[in-house]
Amino acid sequence: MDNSLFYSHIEENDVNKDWIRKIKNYAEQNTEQQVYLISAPLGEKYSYSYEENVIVILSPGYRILFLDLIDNAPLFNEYCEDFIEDLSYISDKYSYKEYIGRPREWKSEIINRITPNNNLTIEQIFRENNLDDDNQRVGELLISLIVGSINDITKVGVKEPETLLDKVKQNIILFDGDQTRFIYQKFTNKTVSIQGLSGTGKTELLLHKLKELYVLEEEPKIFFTCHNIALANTLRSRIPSFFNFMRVEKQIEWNSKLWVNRAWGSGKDSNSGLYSYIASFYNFPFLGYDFSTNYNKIFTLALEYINGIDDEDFEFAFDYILIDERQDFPKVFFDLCDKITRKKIYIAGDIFQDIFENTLETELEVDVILNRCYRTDPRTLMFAHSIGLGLFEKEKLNWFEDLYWKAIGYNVNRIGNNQVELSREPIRRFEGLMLEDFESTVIENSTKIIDVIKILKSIKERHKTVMPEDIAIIILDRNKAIYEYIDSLCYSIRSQLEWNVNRAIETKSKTKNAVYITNTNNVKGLEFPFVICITAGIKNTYRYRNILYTMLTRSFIQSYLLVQNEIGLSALISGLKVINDENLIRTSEPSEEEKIAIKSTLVRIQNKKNISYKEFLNEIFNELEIDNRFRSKLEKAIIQTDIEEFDKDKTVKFIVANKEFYS
Amino acid sequence: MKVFVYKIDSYSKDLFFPKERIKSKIQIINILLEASRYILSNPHIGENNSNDEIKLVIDKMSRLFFSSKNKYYSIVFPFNLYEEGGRIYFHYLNNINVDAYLISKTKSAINCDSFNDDCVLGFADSIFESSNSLESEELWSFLKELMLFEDGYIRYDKDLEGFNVAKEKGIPDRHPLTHYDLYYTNKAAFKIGLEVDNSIDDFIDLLNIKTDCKYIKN
Repeated sequence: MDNSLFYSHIEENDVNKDWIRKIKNYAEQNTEQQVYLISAPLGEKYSYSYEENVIVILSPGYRILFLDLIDNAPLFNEYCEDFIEDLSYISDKYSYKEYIGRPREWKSEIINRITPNNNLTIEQIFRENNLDDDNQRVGELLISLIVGSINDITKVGVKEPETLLDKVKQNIILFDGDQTRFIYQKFTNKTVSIQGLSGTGKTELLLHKLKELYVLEEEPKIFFTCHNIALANTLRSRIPSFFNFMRVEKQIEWNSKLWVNRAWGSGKDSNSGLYSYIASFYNFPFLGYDFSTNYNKIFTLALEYINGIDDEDFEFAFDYILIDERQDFPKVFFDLCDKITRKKIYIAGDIFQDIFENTLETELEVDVILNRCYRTDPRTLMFAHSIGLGLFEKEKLNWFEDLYWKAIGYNVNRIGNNQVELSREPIRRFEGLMLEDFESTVIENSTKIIDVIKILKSIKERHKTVMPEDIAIIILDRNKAIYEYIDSLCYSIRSQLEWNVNRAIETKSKTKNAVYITNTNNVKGLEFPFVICITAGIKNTYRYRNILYTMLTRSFIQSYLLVQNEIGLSALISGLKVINDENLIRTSEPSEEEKIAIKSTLVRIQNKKNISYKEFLNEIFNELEIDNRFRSKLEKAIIQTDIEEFDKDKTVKFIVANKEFYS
Repeated sequence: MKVFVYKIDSYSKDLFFPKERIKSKIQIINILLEASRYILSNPHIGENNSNDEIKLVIDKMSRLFFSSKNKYYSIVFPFNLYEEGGRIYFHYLNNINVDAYLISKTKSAINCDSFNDDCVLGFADSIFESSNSLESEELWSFLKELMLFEDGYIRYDKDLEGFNVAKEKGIPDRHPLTHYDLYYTNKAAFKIGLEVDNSIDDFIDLLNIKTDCKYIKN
């Protein structure tokens, strides 16, 4: 079995290939152990003359092991000393030194030099090089420096944190094998894409990539984009501190070297979006957002226009484009990016942002698949998937082939009688945290404000170090009534908890010292220790289930689901119990006929997605010959129902049944 | 005369008594919307000793009064109010229901960056983004009226600090201890000094067109 926690950055040669193979075999047997093989610190410009005869093994919880493969003590010792000196420099550069001390303080405990003979097994090596509790954190911090997975040492600290919240917050983040590959491996193709569940660290990786590109090139022109304004704003505000933190000395030249903004933008300010920039760069008319324009239209027109430019007049708009949340864009957008970019395009996508997306479409060639979700507790993730896909219900909303289950990080175990158990590997962030007694998801059958306040108070009580901004309250329903609810909630939080609130519906950005309160629109890319999702009732529409899934996974400690209506709750509660007790999803596999039925429903709804909802309704009004005067009334009535957008059969049925009352 | 009184909790105080002096119509609109939201929601305030209040006074005139110790100010309340089943509802221009939803949409439209864009399209974008759902067609007409309504801002202030500064400079009458401030932009604003303190009731009386007028005597 492949181990996505294994990464080797060593060029194989006759001396090292047997050992690399041995270690790789070991890693394949021990899939929960993170192992990196390197011969020089990653992401830095160091190289050593003796390098090809050495393997450095890094694995959290163990000493840093230098293996001398040809037994040349003087040269090997020289190599080790040089390596440690450079590591000490990196440690100083990222301010780790104040915390972990000078090499003489950690060298003897943390580093071991080994000249292995052929009888020595990898198991033996690891067995003999376990680090005791006091040294484990220092060891991990050193590994993080060597692989370039720099942590904010002022936040993470060298002391083992005490509370659960702090443990999760101060966990030392290490790139896993796949993540390391994305950052350091040289890819030959022009477009490099990574894909993974939300919370697998895609955005973080894009930032690392951005840093590398920005520093590496003399005068790069880079546009970093995504669909959502709130996410774009967050990204833009994160970059200065990220660069600063990664010790990038080069000035950020906004809007001349580096753009970070949404994909569309506004008509006047050409820097406000990728599309608005290229409209001004190539001098074609900008189309603003309205009911009849969409991404497909603007990017198709833009590409047509740019394709029409003579070769000798054509200029690239950018050297690099980085795209987050690829699933928000149509294919033509990537064609356009390919056309206007000189060097490379890096795309991060979430295969599962829309869990009902046609899998063929998203199984496009991907260079790196990330299947370990670091944000969310695996149990929360399992529950969110179950509720999204309807796994605890008789009629499933979607079902995947085994390969796809695997791609999103599940082990599939058929236990007979159509019963299936789906489980996930544990992740480092939650290892050894004793979370067994701690429910990662809580369902409550009430949305009363008094009960929300109760939950907030219990969080405050249980997690002494919690801050208001650690909590997000997300209202899942889309109707006017939620605004009144939000108002009451805001005032209650202020008066009863003396916490400030951030109405993200209006501010569209995160602020310190305030509870984040929003509908489902301003949540993408954000994460919180605690998330409270509030809804009137669990609906069966695809859009709703998808949103519910996405919102539940925004927490990295605990998610609450507050439901007013009790219909369907008991199945969820018992399914959740299995997840909490046994760490797996138990469900039944749909029959072949059921699978075909699921597919055809999905196709029916997706085929309509290329037009806007307004256009979709207009088509139906035309077909039914509904007088123009009554359309807007009917539109208003339809959106108040639970009918799935783009579900033509039901929409027609509704209009036919109700038209006489609206004319 | 109908008077509706709402206590202000300490966390909401900053909304109605901003640290910085009011200088723009956008601030006035924000205050009007926040006050409307506060009144509609009518939050329960625990026992507190705060004297801070919002008073909505409706007679022939219709005004909001914000009062804290030594400072009161008032703006026009342009919406129509009606009560039904123990609840209050606001309407504007007879057909726009000013509810939590419209208030929220309007606030996000006027407080986003592109509202300050130097081009009309940036401004239009912000309105459009907030009103692209089928439910908020009223947003633009509502916002237009808000931008055009005469807010009638007036403030009563007993400001010892400002008075002392003026006195030290030898110009105490440029900043009388108790005074009214009329208007809020630099070119329009001016003070009228008062020889006696005003209570909030005096202040309301001053602005009530159904009671006798006050005279400036000198």
